[in-house]
Amino acid sequence: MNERVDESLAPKESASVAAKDFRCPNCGGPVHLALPGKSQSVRCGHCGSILEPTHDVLLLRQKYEKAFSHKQWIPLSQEGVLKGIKFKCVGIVVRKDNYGGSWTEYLIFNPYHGYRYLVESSGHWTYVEQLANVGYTPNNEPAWDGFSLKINFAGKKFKYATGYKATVKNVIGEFPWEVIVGEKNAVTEYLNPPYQATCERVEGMRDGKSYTTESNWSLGEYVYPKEIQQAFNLEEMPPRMGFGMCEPNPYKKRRFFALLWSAALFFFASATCVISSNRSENAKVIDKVLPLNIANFELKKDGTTEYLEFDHEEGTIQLSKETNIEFEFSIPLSQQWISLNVFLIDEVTGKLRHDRWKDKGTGRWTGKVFIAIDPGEGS
Amino acid sequence: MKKSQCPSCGAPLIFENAHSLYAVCKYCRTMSVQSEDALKEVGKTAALVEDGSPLDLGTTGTIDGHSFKIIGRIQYNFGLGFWNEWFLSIADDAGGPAWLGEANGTYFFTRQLTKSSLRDDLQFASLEAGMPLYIDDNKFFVKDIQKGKVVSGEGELPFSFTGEYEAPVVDCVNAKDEFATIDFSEEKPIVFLGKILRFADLRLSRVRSVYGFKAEDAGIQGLTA
Repeated sequence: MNERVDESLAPKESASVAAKDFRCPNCGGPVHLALPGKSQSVRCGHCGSILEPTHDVLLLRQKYEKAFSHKQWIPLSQEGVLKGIKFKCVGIVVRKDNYGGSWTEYLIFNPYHGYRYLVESSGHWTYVEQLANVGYTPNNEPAWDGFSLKINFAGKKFKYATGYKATVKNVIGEFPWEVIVGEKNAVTEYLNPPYQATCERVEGMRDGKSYTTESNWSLGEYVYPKEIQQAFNLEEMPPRMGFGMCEPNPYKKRRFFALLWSAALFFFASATCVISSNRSENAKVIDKVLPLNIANFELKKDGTTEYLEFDHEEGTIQLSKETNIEFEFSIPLSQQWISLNVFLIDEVTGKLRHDRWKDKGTGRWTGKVFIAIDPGEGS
Repeated sequence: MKKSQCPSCGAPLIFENAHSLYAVCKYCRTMSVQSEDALKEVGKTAALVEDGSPLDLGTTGTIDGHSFKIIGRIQYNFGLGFWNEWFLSIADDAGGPAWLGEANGTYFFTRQLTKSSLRDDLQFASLEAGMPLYIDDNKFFVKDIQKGKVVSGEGELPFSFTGEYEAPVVDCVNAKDEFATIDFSEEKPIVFLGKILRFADLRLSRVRSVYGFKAEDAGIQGLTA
C-alpha cells in the first residue's frame, strides 16, 4: 500500500501546458504549436500543409502550397492587452465574399475568456466574440436559417444589413476548429452600431435540398484602430477607407451643436421678420379708382407688336421715414394685355426715385408691386 | 464530509457532497463506488488529457450568489476539441447535482433534473438542430447535436463512466439565455437545465496558469492562481 503524507490536492503540472514543437509529416520541417490540447488545426510554415495535432504527432489533413503572403498587421504570436484582457494572436484567416471583397480575421486567445476575433476590413476593426446562443426574431423564434429583418441577440436589438457567402482563402497559425482552405459558409449580418450580430451557417444536403446544420452567432463591436494599435504595440495600421460596417456615426457628436446653431439662426431670422413687420405702419397713403378711357391712349408700335400707351399722373404721396410701399392694382382684362409702370418722383429734387413695372395677360389682374423707398431730402 | 481510503492503494479518499457515489483516486486513478458503508473498486481510469482548462479541482466561485467548489470532473472528446463537465458542490444546497460545463471560454451551469416532461422513449436520432423542444412547459430549441467520447475523470462524481464510452448529447437554448443539455447515454434521457455564463460571471477565486498566461491576465480583480 502506498503511503501519502500530503492530504491537500496534488497540484497539476502547469509547466506541461506550454507550447510544443513537432515535425511536419509532409516536409519534416519544424512546426511550433502554441496551444497543444486546444488547437485542432495548424499550418506548416514551410510546405503550407494543414495539419491536425494529436497528443504526440501531427497528422496531414490538407495539402495547400500557397504561402500566406498577406501583411500581418498583428503578427502571429504577438501579445497584447485589449479591454483589460491579455490576448495572444495564434492564427490569421483571410476570407473573401462573393461580391469581390476580402477581409482578415486575427484569432486571439486568452485561456480564461476564450477566443476572440479581430476582423479587419479596409482598415476598420471589429472585436468579435462567438456566443453560445442564437439570434431570435421579435416573436422569440430562433433565426436558424439566418434571415430576419429584426433580431434580438445578446440583449440588444439589431436590423438586417447584408448576407453573403464567405470562403476561406488562406490561413496561417493554429485554430481550435478544422480548417479547410476553400470552405464556404453562408453569413448574415445585422447592425446596431457600434455593435454587429453575425450568423454563420453551415449547410448540409438532405433529399436534394440544403438545410442548416449549424447556426453560429457572434457579437461584434467596432474598435477604433488606435485601440488595437496601443493594445498590441503596433507600429503601423492599415489605412481606413470609407466607413466601417458597424462604425458608429462619427458626426453624432456634432449633431447636438448643429441643431443648436440651426435653432439659433431660425430664431434670429424669425425675430427679424417679426420685428420689422411690426414696425411697418400699414398706413394707406392712396386709394383711388382710375377710369381709363382707351380713346386717350396713344397707339405705339414695338417691332411687330402694337400697343396703346397711356400716362396718368396720380398725385403725391407723403412719406415720413424709410419704408416699403405696396401698390395694389385691380384691373379687369378681357383678351387684353396690360403693362404698368410706376414712377415715383421726388417733388423736391425732381429725381426719379424708383420705377418698377409688371406685365399681366388675360383675366383679372389683382397685382401688387412692392417698392422700397426712403424719403430722401424731400417728401 | 466522508473520509475514506482508496481500496486499491489506501490513499485518503474524501466524499464532500451528498450526491457523490463515485470517486477517482488521484494517486492510483482507481475508481471506487460507495456500497453498503464500504468502498468497492470499480476499475482503473485513463489519464486525463491536458486541455489547457483554467479550472481545477478545488477552484471556488459564485453563481447567482451561491458559492460553489469544484469537486469532480468528466473530460470528453467531441472530435472538435475537449469538453469538461466539472461537478460542483454548492454550499447549503438542496437541489440536484450541479455541473459547470466548460471549454474555450464558454461556461454552462446546469442542474440535473430528477424528472422532466421529456418522454422516456425520446430518441437521439429524432432530434435535429433548429427544432423546438419543450422541457416542462419551457420552449427550447435544439442548437447542437454531438457524440462525445469520455476521456476520463477525476475527483468525486454522482455517476460513473467508462472509457470508450460515447455520450450522445443534445444542447438546447432559448430566448431567455437558458440552457439545457440532454444526455442520451442511458436508456432514458437525462436532462440538465441551467444557463449560459461567461468567465466574468463566475467570480472564480483561483485559476490555473496555462500557456504562459497568469491569473492577472484575465483582467479580473482579485483573481489568483
